Amino acid sequence: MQFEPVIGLEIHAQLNTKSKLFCSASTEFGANPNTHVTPVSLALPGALPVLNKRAVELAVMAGLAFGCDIQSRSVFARKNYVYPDLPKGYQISQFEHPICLGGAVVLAELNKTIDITRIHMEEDAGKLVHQGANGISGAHASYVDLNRAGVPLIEIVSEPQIQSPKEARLYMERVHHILKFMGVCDGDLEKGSFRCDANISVRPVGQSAFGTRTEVKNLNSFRSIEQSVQYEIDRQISVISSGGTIIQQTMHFDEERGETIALRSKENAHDYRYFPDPDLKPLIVTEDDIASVRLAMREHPDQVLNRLTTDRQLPSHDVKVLMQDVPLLDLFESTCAIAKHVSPKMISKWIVGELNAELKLAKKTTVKAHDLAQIMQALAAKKLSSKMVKDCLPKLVQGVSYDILSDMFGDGQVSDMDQLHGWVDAVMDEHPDVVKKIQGGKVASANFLMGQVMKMSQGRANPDAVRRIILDACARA
Amino acid sequence: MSHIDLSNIMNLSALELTPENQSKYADQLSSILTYMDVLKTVTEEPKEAFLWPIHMDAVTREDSPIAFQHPLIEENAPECSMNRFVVPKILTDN
Amino acid sequence: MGNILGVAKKIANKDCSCEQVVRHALANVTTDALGLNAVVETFDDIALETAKKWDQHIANGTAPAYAGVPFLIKDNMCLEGAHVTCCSAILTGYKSPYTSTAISRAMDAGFIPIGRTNMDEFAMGSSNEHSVYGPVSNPWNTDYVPGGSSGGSAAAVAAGMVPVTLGSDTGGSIRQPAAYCGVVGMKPTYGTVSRYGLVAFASSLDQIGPFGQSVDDVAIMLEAICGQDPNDATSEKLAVNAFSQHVSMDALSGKRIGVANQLMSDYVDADIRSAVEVVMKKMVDLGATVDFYDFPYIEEALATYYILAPAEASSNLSRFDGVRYGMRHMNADSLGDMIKKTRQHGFGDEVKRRIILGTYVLSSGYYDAYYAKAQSVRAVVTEAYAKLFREFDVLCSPTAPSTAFLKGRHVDDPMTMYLSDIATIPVNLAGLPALSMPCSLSSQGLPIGLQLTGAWFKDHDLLNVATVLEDVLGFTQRYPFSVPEENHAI
Repeated sequence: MQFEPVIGLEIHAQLNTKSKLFCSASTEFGANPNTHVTPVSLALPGALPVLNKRAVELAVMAGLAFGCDIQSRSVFARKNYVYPDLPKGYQISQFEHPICLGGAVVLAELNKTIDITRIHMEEDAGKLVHQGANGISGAHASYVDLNRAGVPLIEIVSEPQIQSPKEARLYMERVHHILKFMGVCDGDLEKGSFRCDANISVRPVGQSAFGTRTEVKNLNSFRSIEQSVQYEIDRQISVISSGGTIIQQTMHFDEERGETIALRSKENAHDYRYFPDPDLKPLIVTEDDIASVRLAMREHPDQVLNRLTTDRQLPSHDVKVLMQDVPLLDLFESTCAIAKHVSPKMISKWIVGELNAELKLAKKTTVKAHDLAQIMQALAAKKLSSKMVKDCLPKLVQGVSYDILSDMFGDGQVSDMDQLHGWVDAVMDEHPDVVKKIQGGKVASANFLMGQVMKMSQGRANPDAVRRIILDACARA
Repeated sequence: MSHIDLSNIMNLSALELTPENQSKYADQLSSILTYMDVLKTVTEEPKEAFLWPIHMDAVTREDSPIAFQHPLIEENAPECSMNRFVVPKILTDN
Repeated sequence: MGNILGVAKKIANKDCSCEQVVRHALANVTTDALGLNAVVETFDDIALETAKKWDQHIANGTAPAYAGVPFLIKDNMCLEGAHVTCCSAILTGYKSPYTSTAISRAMDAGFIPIGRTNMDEFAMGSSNEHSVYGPVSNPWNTDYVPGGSSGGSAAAVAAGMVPVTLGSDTGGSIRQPAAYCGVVGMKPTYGTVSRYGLVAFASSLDQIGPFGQSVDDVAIMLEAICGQDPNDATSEKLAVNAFSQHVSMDALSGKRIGVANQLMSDYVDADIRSAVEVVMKKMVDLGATVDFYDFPYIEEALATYYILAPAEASSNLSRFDGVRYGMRHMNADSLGDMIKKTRQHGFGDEVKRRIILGTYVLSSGYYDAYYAKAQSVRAVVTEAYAKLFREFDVLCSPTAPSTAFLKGRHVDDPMTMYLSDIATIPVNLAGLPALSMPCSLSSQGLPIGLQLTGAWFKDHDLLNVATVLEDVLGFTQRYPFSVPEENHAI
């Protein structure tokens, strides 16, 4: 029998805020245990949650990026279960009334659209570290760190329209790219900022009813989503083919062994007793609120892509680099806007090439667009040579301004013919043997003379003009 | 509503009860729940679903982190090590 | 002890220092001449330190209006560095690292917290018999309960230990003990006082409010603690908060007063009904119109409350798991076992009963029949009140169907106990302001409470009406005969 998989993904993305969803504890990664806490995230008696406005803006932004309907009224509910990483004994999450409904993710390479069911806001749990052998089962004690408890998340729930492990991966990558690009989420998979649960079932081809599904939890890499979905599909097909039935259960993906493992059945049986959180009033998002988010938000990556390729006509490599690096893209756009009479292509060539390399070297993300624009203008006007630009980039990256740089180059590139002739004459007088070689047909030797002229001019001589003068002079002599 | 199975409810509410308390509570709950039947007599539907007694904007916060440290956090903890709360192992053998 | 203004005046006139006042109040509490068990711990260090600070300020002329006036807080409000236990074993030894907004505001106005008062565990109860510190006695007759859950706060004021105390009211927990103890107690409009630092029982119903010997004292304290709080999302911006100002002695003139037939029927004690009838006549004498109305949801409101409050409580009390603070049961072989045993031994009977009930009404299969239905009835009740307040300015009823009852009488009969809140509960469901003031004594010599309920955010009007009535009823500062003279030396 032929089977087809049915896959739906629930993506958890950490909202890019400085403080937690319901209190002012920092969200910064990597702090000492229990230092990013408040009475609220410690669930001390009497503490109350107060909603972070920025988190709402970011959730709305995500909704707009995926074309969702932003709900004018959404409700935070309590999801009740007892676990030590959940200090209140409940997680605050939107249940019946999420902030966004509908929307879609376009997978252009497959010419396919995956619909989004909903996006809701919720808080993350804390971290539990098990002491002792073999992780959780061999532990004799566990340690609770609540730094992560209360960090704001959105959960993006897809319709079960994903049909292969490859599609699952592409969907996850696409969502990741859009959220990161828009600045909704920092997208750092290693720090847990972006992770995914996959609901997987299989059914005989032609059957419309869904098969029993399993849920693989906490997939935090693109590779593991593809692998685990593939593994789970194969496992389910083999169970059914050998006459077994699939049990609805929660699974964990063991990356090292490349297998999905069922969690204990006890952890599957949950009755969360959701009810509206009485500490939080319904969240009202007005048309005005949406408009101001729309105004402040970054352009959708699809539009940017279109502009870079069609309007700016950048080479595909440059486009690829810029789309993956938002600060670089911003630098490109700002520089284009400021610099007069400079082609975008030239700007992107410098940004994506030399400047990017310098930035990486210096572990920095950007430079002042105004300074770069001045440099590009000077280059285009031939006041600076390419070499001079190249030489000044490290200084620009260090934060040296264009004004200081231009002072260093004196008057910039020298194209004055009298001045150039003076330098060339002096060099030719000093190296008559080389002049002879050139006259004898070894034109390449002109490079040596050029080098000498550049040295004498401290790099400021216009190299094209110098070359022409040298060749003319040799021909005449 | 003659007999209530308390074992599931005890599990959900993370409460252990003595057998005597279980049967006492079951009886008392039955009589309380019988009283609750009075709600069935309300056939009126509210104009609006109840969300809140007072419909005014909720207080919200700006996104600015504020550090909070207090020696009592550690002093209050039944068991604490290296600034983390220590709890017994998660799983039992059965 | 005298009233707030009296004590404040003595301090301002330098008749006595803040420290003397605080020492006197502490002595009232620790002597506990009537053996009430109303106060479970005094904050000697915090109180005396604060008193000395204010004495300095008084010397410099920079003290706030009520500097040095002592007050007591219910044991469910957090004060930095002080124990807060909700009179539960599960919070044994717990000290709060932060201060609740209400207390911090009262302290900003100069009031000095000198101790925490006894209460029903986690505010669940109507008799103050469910406390790990043992029951509280009613100062009018120590065989009787003071009411609950804020029984200690009511009894302490009735015994004249301090002029004013704070309580919390979820279904009548301020008003019912105020009635039983013959003092004034008010639950303001939901959202008037921040709940930040109040250990939650049922978040959508809980409100902090003051107890005092007079309406004026209650108004002064409410004025000090009220107002929107960035730490409580459900606190409200108030249009009027000068509760103790602009009192008009003509406040009842032209007022439309409503009286629910259902709360004057025969399950209310005859003594109480006739006391309320006397008040109604006096209201008419003062120029008000008094009319009866039908409120068909009394029992429904009670049922609604006993679904919603336990539901919220079952979730609010989940945080008491022995992991981060409070009691931990040490004899456990796993985490799950530790949590379950901690809660079994840490919570008292009534609390466990309500957690079970609350979990039950939220659980899968019962949610619609109980929780969802109760939310719907809550909306119906709230809409009914909105309609009533188009016809009436103030609603008037007995605070409770009976006067204080004998200790031990209802302990094992939760449903009867719950019925003692029948007149107060509907008010919490709708989030309305209401107060209880003493209006008479029963044939047994126990106080009778009158409940006045106002429309949303009409707390000031309500206090104004109460001030006028208080004057006419002449019950102000009337202590039980047994309260020792020494308590009133200041």
